[in-house]
This record gives sequence, C-alpha cells and structure tokens, in this order.
Amino acid sequence: MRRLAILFCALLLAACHSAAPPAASIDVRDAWARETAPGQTSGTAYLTIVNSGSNGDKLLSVTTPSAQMAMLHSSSNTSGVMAMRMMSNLPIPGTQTVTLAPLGTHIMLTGLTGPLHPGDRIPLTLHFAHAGARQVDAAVLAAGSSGPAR
Amino acid sequence: MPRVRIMLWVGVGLAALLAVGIALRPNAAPDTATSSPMPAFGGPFTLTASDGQPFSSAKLSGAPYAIFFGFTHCPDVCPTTLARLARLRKALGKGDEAFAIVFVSVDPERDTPADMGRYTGLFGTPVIGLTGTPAAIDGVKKQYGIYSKKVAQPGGDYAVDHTATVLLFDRAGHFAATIATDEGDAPALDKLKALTA
Repeated sequence: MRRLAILFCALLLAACHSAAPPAASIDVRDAWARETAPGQTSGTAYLTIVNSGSNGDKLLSVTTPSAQMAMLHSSSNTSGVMAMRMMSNLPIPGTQTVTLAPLGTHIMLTGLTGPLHPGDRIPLTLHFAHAGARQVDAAVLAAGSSGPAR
Repeated sequence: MPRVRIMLWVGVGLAALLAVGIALRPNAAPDTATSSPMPAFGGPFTLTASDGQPFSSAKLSGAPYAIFFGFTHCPDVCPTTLARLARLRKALGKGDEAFAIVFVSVDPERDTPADMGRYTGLFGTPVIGLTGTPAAIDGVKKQYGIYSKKVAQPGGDYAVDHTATVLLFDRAGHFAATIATDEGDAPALDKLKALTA
C-alpha cells in the first residue's frame, strides 16, 4: 500500500513536470502606434508583454515592414531633462508583465515608409531569445491619444 | 603740433561722452519689470511661425500660455506631452482661448516651419509651433532656461536630449509655474485652473 502511494506520488510529479512548458509562455497584447504627420520619419509603438511561464525571456529585437528600423528605446527623466537611449534587449522575467508605454520603454520606428494614420494597423514581429518570433498588429491611434482603452 | 592737441581734445571729449553714457545707462534702458531686482525669465523673442512668417512673443501677451520645447523627430516624449496639454485644456473646460500651447523646436537644423505646422496640427487643437535660426533658438532657450543636446543614434540619425518641463506664464507674461513630465494630471490641472482664474 505504502509502495503504491509512493508510486502514485511519483507519477503525479512526473505528470505535473511534463505539463509545465519548458520555454517561457509569452503573450503580446494591446499593441498600438501613435499617428504621425506627413513627412515625419519617426514614430513609436507600445505594447504589453505577458510572461505566464516561470522562466525568464528576453526581447532581442523588433522588425516591421512599415519602417526601415525598429529599435528598443527607453525614455528617462533626469531633473526634467528627457533623454532617449537604445536598449540592447529587454528582459521579460518569469511570471511578469512588462509594459511599453509613453515616457518609458518604447519601440522607436525610424525611416517610416509613410505617415501612420489612425485606423491603420502596422505589423510588428518581436524576436524573443526563447519564445522565438511573435507577430502582432499595432493599431494606429490618434496623436492625442494616451493609449488603447482597456 | 596743433594736430596732436586737436587729437587730445577729441580724446577728452570721447572719454566725457563715455562717462556720461555709463552714468545714464541704468535709466536709459529700464527693465520692463522695474519692481523686480531679478532679470525677467522668458521672452521677448521673435521666432518663425509655421506659416514661415516672423512670430513675435508680443502676440502671446494678454492670455496665459504653456510653453514646451522639443523636436518633430521626437516620437515619444513630445507627442505625449502635447497630447497631454491638449487633454488638460479640454478638461479645464474654458475653451482653446483659456491659454495658448506653444511648442518651440530645439532642432532648428531639421525642423522647418512647415514641419512644425504639420506636427502641431496632429493634436486636434490649436498649438503654436515655432522654429527659427539656430542662433535665435539658442537665445530663446537661454531666456527660458532650456537645456538641449544632440545625441547620435544608430544609422547616422540623432535624437535630442532636452528639458521637457512645461513652463506656464500668466497674462502679464510672468513665469507662473511648471508642469513636470512625471507629474500627475490632477496637480497639473490645478495649476492651469489657477493660471486661468
């Protein structure tokens, strides 16, 4: 009987272990970009990355056909002076949600192929170290917007 | 010999004129804010409006204004701040005339008047976009205590680090308050209420 219980527990553990995904579970949501003016060559996209897995991941790069370059940037405030710097990658810790939002981390788009109009959708591909490539469409919102309605 | 004497007298005359000039100087150029021992913060200035015409700071007198410095290649901080000012002016509920929103370029080499016009036109509310010669912009930055510095970006591009605090001026053109980038909307709205009371 006791041996049977041990065997049951071992089986249960094995089942739980095989059910847990080995890679991070990454979900990208609420992607949006801000409207740009004609002739404006740079824009930004924002989104939320949910890591429901226990393992950490890293966002390595972003690509889009709508711009020549998409860079991970962070805006920082030092005594009222705002500075924008490129980030080599963005860590997504396990079980954490990382939000890219105005005045913080954002995806800077340079060399836009055309102005971004409200209602447009621009495709973004996010390249993660473990989760691989994830595609998401960013909805273009009016310049006066502060983000998608939640 | 007489020529030397004439030259000396001319020298004496010039020295006397200079002395009189120095003595009269404080009265000759009175400051607009004579009651204040401090030099005035802010204008007067002349820059270029989005239609390419000269824009004198005199056009801002009579109504309060919120002034913010940035650049049109700025995709995050600048549109976020202008969108916020537009939103706050709407929330104030006193119409677009309650206070002017002024956006001055810290990147005059790239920002043409037309660029400023297209950019400020994005926010669905009147925004005065100003640029000018690099020398004129430097002068206005000094008047308003604005720091900016170009920073190289990958691909040969550059961004500009800059003071992003919004400065509020009252009807008389005197500095009244600031709205910091990381300040909540509630205190910002309180300041705008006081400014437009």
